[in-house]
Amino acid sequence: MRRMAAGVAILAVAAALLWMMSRRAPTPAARAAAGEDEDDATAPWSDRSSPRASRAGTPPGKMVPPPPAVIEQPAMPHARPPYSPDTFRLAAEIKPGAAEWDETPSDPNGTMVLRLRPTTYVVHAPAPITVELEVLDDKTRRHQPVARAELQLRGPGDGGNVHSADFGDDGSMLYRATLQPDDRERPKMYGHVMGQAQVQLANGKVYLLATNLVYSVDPGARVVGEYADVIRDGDLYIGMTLAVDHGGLYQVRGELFGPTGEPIAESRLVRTLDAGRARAELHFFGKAISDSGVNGPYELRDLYVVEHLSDAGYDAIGPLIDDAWRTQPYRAADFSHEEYQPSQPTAAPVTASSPSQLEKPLPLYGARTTGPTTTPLSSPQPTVALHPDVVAGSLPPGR
Amino acid sequence: MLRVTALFLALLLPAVASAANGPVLQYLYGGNSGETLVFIHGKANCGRGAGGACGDNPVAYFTNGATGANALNEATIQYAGSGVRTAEAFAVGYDLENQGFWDATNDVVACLRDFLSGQNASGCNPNGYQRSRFRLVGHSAGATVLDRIFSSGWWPDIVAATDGYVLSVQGALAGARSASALYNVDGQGNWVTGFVSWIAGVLGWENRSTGAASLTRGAVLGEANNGFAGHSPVWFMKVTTTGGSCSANNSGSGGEFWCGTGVDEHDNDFELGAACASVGYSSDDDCDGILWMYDSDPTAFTDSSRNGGKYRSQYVGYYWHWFASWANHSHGRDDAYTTLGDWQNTSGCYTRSPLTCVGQFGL
Repeated sequence: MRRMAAGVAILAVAAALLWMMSRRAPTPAARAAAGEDEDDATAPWSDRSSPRASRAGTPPGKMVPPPPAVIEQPAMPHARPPYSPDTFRLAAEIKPGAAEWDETPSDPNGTMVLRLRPTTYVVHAPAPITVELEVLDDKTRRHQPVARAELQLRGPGDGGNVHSADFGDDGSMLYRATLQPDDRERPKMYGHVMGQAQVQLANGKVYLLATNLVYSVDPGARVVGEYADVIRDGDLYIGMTLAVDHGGLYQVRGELFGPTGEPIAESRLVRTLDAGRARAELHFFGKAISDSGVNGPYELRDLYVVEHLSDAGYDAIGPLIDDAWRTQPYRAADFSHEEYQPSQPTAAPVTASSPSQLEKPLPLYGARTTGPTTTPLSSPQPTVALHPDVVAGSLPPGR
Repeated sequence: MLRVTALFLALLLPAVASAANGPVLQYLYGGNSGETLVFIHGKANCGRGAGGACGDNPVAYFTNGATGANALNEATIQYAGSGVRTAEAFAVGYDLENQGFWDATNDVVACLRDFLSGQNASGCNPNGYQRSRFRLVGHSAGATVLDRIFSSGWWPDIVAATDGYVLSVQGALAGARSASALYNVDGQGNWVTGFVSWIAGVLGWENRSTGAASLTRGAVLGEANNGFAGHSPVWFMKVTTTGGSCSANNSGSGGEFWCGTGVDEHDNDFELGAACASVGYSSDDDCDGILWMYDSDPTAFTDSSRNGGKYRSQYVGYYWHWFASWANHSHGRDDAYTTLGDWQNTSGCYTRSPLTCVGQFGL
């Protein structure tokens, strides 16, 4: 009996071992996905660039069972936005036209990081277009050599032509490639320019990286000065004069700082302007300033004009005026602390019940599927009615 | 003088935007509450005359391939003490394959303006539907489009006509490293060969999708630096994902049937998870970021006034970290879990089926 029990136990263990061995061996990628051979400090999923103190979520590959089906009430915002729609609290200075790196790891372990960006995201014609490339050791953050790299750019109006230039460096291992469109080519490049770089590292591996930039004309309006500031109804207004070369839809944007560089608020003004000279006033909602607690005088910085070129598919951003204006020595308490009160629509709404809509075609689905509810439904539970176009199995893949 | 190259790589750059399909407006459900929701899909070409299941038929984007049920149904239902409130559901189909998200935004704006006026200038509204107010819901890159509409300041009429919150379900609010990372071609090591071709197909690289190419992290953040993103003057309610096995980075399931839950729509979950880890991303929003052009919570102000979030100084608008959904990116739009009984009710919603929360709390 004892032998029989032992035999059964051995068979059970053997079966278990066979079952485990029959499981698919994980691929290197799957092992990477599971975080094997990695400690927390070097795990490929650790976001070392994130300033967030701790990361939410679960590392890839960690087996986490489906969450229980718990009914929840997710928290909603405490209140509506306190400032007028044209004014935002400013957390840090924003440099319009600044570029951001696009990063690509070299392998599953992120041994190296390939980084690509235009020197500036917005390039003002006729300036040349310069794109930067660097390869960093992910642990030491030291630059690594590139054996060969080429940049290709395509303008939105260039009929599919691709322009190329080689990357080179001055020994710093920060590689640059520059393209200088001529007078004939320039108009075809205006707008959103897409680019890629083919990069070969010293170990022979080849990568393709993507980047984007805006190649822009100057807007048809510019700030010519004649600044003035005033407090009106508890808000700050900074006026200026614009010279408008041609009519169009424009914005003026600017950032407000305290006397020692404290970021306070950002504002924008949207106006349709005719050719000629025009006055414009940037409005800073009073509560944004009073909330900051920062006393003036205030600095208006990073001021610029934008023209909406909808037909061309981009917005022409004007040159940045770094230090545009210094206001009078207002105090934060001089500004209103009242929250913004949005106006309510006064016109009668147009709905499905409006006379103009009663004869319109009905919705595709005449009935709904509903789930069980804790309260009685007002009508018998309907069933789903599928539109003929919606056929299971013929749908696009999930994305 | 530029040097015009004839290298084979030139063929890889996305095609120019001239072949973009125009927008369409689709009326899907009626309602009893007098409210209207308009749904904006993510990276796909659901435009007028486009091929595939969602060409002229954007509801297909939100439809569960296994059940044929679409999530716009539960997203427009709210259970109240008095019974069931329903909102109308419309969807805008547009082309985010053959043009960048900036051009796609212009198309969506043109269609929404037609919807506001009852006109058909964009060609999307031949039936002349008109609503003077609506709510907007975007999924994935659809939220990028909505963010541009609200942040840029160019279209105050649409901002003024929008009621309540803008709902961003797994929105690509900071672009994605995927558009550059997955552009990666490793000619020697083949470290992602097992799945990169599949992902490339989904993301459109095989066709060199201009839509995908426009959604790089550098492009979206560059636009944010210019003030055209991250500057919403109204609350964006952001739904993120937690990741984890059986979800966005489903590396534990080995591609098997949805971790035994019985929920379909599990295609390629294993590959998604492996690729996610391979390119150096964590779970939560980043995993979707690498795969689906989604970096869910890039906004400034990590304090309680925004319910948490990563810090990006460009994002000075109003973005609320609503909740993290266990559902992966695909499930986040088609609510596969409703097949397990995830229906909202008067007590709340199921965050693993995020559109049940849109219905219960977004109306």
